[in-house]
Amino acid sequence: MARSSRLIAGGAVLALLSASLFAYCARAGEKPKPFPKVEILYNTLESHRAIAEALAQMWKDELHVNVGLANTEWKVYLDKMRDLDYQIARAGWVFDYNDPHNIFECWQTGNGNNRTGWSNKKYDELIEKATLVRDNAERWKVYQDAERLAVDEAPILPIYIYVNKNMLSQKVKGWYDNVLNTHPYDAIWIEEDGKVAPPDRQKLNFNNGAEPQTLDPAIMSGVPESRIAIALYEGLTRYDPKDLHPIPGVAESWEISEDGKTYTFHLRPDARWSNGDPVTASDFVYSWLRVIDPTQLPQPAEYAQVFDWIEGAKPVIHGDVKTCDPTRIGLDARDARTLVVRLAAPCPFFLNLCAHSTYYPVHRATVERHGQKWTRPENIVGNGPFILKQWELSAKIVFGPSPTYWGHERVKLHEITFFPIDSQDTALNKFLAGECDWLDDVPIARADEVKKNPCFRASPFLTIYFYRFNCTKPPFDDPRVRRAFSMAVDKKTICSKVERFGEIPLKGVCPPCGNPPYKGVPGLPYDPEGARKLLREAGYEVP
Amino acid sequence: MLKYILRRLVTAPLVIFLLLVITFTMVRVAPGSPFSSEKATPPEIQERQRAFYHLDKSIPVQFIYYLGNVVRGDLGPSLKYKDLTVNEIISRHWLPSFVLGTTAMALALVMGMTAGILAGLKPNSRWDYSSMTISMVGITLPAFVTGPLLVVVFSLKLGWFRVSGWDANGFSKDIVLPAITLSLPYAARIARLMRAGLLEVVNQDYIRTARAKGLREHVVVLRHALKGALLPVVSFLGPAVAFIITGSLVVETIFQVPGLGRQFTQSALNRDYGLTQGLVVFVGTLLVVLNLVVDVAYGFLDPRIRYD
Repeated sequence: MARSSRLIAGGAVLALLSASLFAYCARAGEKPKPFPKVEILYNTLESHRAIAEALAQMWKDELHVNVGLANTEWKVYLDKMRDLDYQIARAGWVFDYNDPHNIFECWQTGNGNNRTGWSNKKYDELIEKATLVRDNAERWKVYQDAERLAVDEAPILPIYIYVNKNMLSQKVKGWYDNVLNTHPYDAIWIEEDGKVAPPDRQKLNFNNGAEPQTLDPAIMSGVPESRIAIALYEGLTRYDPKDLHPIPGVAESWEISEDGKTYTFHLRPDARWSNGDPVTASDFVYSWLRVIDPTQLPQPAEYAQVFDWIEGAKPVIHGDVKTCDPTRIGLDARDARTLVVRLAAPCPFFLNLCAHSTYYPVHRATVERHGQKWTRPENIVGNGPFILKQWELSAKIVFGPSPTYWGHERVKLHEITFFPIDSQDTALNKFLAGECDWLDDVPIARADEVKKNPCFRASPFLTIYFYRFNCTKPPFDDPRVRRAFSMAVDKKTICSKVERFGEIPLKGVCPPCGNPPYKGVPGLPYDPEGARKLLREAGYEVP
Repeated sequence: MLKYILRRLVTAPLVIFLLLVITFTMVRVAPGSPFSSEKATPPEIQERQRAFYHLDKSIPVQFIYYLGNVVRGDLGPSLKYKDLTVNEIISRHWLPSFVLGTTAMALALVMGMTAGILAGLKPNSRWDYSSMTISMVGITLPAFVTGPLLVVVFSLKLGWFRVSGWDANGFSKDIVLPAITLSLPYAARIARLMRAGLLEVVNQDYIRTARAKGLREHVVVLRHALKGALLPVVSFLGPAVAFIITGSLVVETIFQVPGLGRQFTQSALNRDYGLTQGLVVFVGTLLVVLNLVVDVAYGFLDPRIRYD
């Protein structure tokens, strides 16, 4: 095997291999057993079923394994994943921020998103080690070592990297394809006949795909909410729309201490809330403590764990410390314009986190005065480039430019309307009729029609499609079986025949992301012969 | 009659109470949690969420909490839409469904009754065959076929109407396509019921009596035959009106009408307990009331029916 040298490098893997070799020798005299029937778990959706069917066929053809499909309703599917009540299950991961750590931490032992039961001490140590490395190029090397372990033991079967399927009217300018599919509205403008359109026609209609669950940045978690959040609020940093590196937001500059654990942010003197109040360092302290301390928020924050990095925050968030003592949390508003943040570990992507919606500030007086009703159009106060004008439930949300925003002069859009259209067909028709300027998804059944349209833009999206193996139960508790199943899958065929928008086969467990872009390891090859050999080694009969 | 109505009004809350008990238990017994998502929320945070909505208590205790609020007219919070209460969601979504539903029902009645009467008065004529063929098509074509077809023709090709949208201020021409789509299957069923009803009554003794005493044909039809023939239509209308004005999932999705129909389905899929319960109470009450209206209408239409 070409990979044997790498295997020796990992002591744990070596031990595991010799153990399985021993088991193999012990079984050498035994008759190979037939492979049990396996079942693929997926949640009800046409495209998931198509991929599950393709996989079942590949495993049947190449490995002569009988595979059944179990189609499950979404919430039941989530329960089954959590309880490891499956054999092989489809999965996806939308990155929260542009850094490989976001996916690598998932496969650590006990991580809530692991859901495979896979556990490798060496891997866990490598991921911990990576968070201490400040130089990204150096950090990538650590991740590559970890990725090799994950590839060899194959707790997951990587399939492809998603593509953004945007339909964008050609009159919309200042909009860039990027891997987070995030598009700051302050950079966008409308062009007519090659010229900037007059203010009354600077209108952008966008289909957001769903009604937001909340406009409170502390408790929001989904994509439709974050699309609204970047209009209403601004963090210390924000993403550059072209390459997504963190650029100054409310903070105009910052210093990072030698050990990478102390960040000193200098806030802009002209950062203002939409009611005219200045945005101060204590606003951030208040807003962040509101998420960290479970007693402060009216409703628990689903994403509170993104604050785990702040010194003293983790035990409070996870309930190990019952009462939150603000003085023991690493946040310090030195003066109105200086915020000092102490981290528990040198989180090398902390500036990316500062652009995340959970890190956005809220206006204390407004929140305290109106309680849960503070996000209503008549109450809401934000610090972003736009303000909420109108919110018609299930119909539309309208924003206008905020005159108090520090970069107000840069903002050209006069009005943004978000539709919550959940039918991709209706949304596409609306685009074709000119009632909508931008869609971020299109119906797969109309792929041919869409791909011919000059407004269609496909680009890599930092989201992966993969399958989980249940590593706690036979037959997939044996890494050879998992590898065999992975090597029998022709990802190129899935990308070109089943998905049809130019999805990119995912080799290792992490797609290219971060700055400079992280390059993954080769991954397991498509090798049906090798796969059959592995299954035989694992003691199964393969004709 | 008054006694009958009073008796029904007394039993109505009991029906709704039972409905609530069943829904309340069923949404909680159903597998899946309102707080589960693709990305794992730490168990401590999920526990906090459960505690916030009293879901950590036993079901009977939760029910007593909830019932107390319902009696005071408060349907509680939505678990999915964290900024809103169930009262707000229902109050902001019932009107579009109601406006669309009543328009579609009126349309269905006009189309269905006209076709049904024409067919019923001249059975086996050309009128009969053509209107019954059309109504058969209306019954068999589902809204997810007629809706997009209308959109392609009238919005994309002709550009007469918007593809989707809803004017919050009330009537606008946005209502035309969804109302037609929604009304077609109802119109078709009404036409067939109307025709069957007419065919049945025209051979009855009281119609022969009416003709025998020399009444003119249109008086016989309008005053006597129609009244009797309407019975099957009326009994169909009761539940149909309740369903049509509480929203249709398919039509609301195709035309993105901000109505209750989609909320109903979505709330169940999201395990939004509060919203599902609230909608069941709302729609249940409406059904009970409309059924009562239908039963009372029966008494007026058919002198043989008496309530004591």
